[in-house]
Amino acid sequence: MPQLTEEDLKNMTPEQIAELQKQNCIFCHIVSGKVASRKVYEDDKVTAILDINPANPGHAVLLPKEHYAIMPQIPEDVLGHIFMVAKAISHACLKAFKAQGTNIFVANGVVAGQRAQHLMVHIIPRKENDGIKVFNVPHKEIDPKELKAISVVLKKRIDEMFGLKHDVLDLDRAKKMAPEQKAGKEGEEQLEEEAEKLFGGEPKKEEEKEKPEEIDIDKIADMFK
Amino acid sequence: MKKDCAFCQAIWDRNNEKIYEDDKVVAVLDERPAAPGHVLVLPKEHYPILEQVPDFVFRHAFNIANKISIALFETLHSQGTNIIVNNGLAGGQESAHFMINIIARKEGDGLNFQWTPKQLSEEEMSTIELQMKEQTKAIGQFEEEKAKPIEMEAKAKKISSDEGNYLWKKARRIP
Repeated sequence: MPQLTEEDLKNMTPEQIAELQKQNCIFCHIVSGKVASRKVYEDDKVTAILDINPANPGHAVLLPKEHYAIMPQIPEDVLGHIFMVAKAISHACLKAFKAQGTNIFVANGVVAGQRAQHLMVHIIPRKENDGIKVFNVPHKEIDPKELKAISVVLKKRIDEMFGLKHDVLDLDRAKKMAPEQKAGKEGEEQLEEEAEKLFGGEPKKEEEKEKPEEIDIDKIADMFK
Repeated sequence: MKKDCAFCQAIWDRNNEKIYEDDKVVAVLDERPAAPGHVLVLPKEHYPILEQVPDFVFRHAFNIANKISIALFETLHSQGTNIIVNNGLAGGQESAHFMINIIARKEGDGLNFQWTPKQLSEEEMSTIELQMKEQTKAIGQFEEEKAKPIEMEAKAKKISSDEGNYLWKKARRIP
């Protein structure tokens, strides 16, 4: 295919760029059969192949047939189907290799360790003492204030997604609220009261300016270029 | 609910902080997180491992996990998320309650989930492929949620002796 300059890329519509990404995506070629692979499962929405760089023998990769870069782009019914198949493959791994456990692993975004611009679900059969430790989730101590702040912000956002409306609150403001907090139960109550003041009262005009900058999911998906 | 499971207790403890709750799953923040923004999605029923979780609960849990992942992107300005299910003791599962880990990632957070690839010969790969195919043949039937039986109130019709009732009117006409 002809080489494209940056100038060309700028002039393209998002649809054209998406089409271009599809053409250049090796996993889309694998799904369509243009590139050889070891397919272990296929239906109308997903394809499962064996990873060529396996963490353990039997490491399978589940690919949606449509091209999606990261998980938030996938519609709900497809996502549900992908993970139901992932569960079935995990079960198949247990039976086929007499594995004692499995890992299901998804990386969203380059920072999380995603390497190809096609979302995939890794299913890795595990045996005791197989020497793989990377999937053990580490545990670190965290400042309870920060935990509380995250919890407040996240809960509001999730409630909003499910249709319960609140004012927008960002992490920095939640943290600012936290230092005034007293120790123990009183402090928690105080924080909750403050939160209630913020959310319960009439929306102030100032708050509208303080909306967090919106994260563009497409931007994260485009970081691969 | 199982009494000796710490997670079950946490789920049914009403004072506990939950960031999401519905009839099937609960989402809570990990108290000792891998990174700021480490969420656990737990089914409300007690299922020790993945194989015991019904398909429709699992599907629902992942749809919620996806929504939480989006919320992490938007609120904590994370640049990526990892979704990890550790299944079975050999898989690194720490407690006897199935859960999905969602970890918000940022550049330079010191986490690494990248495995070292193992080199396998073509022959080994072929055997694995055959073994897997044998087992994946059975995939296709997914467990759906059974509709709850609709409770109907029994309403027996009583014939009243009202003037307006057609049946009574008719009865009187017979000599």
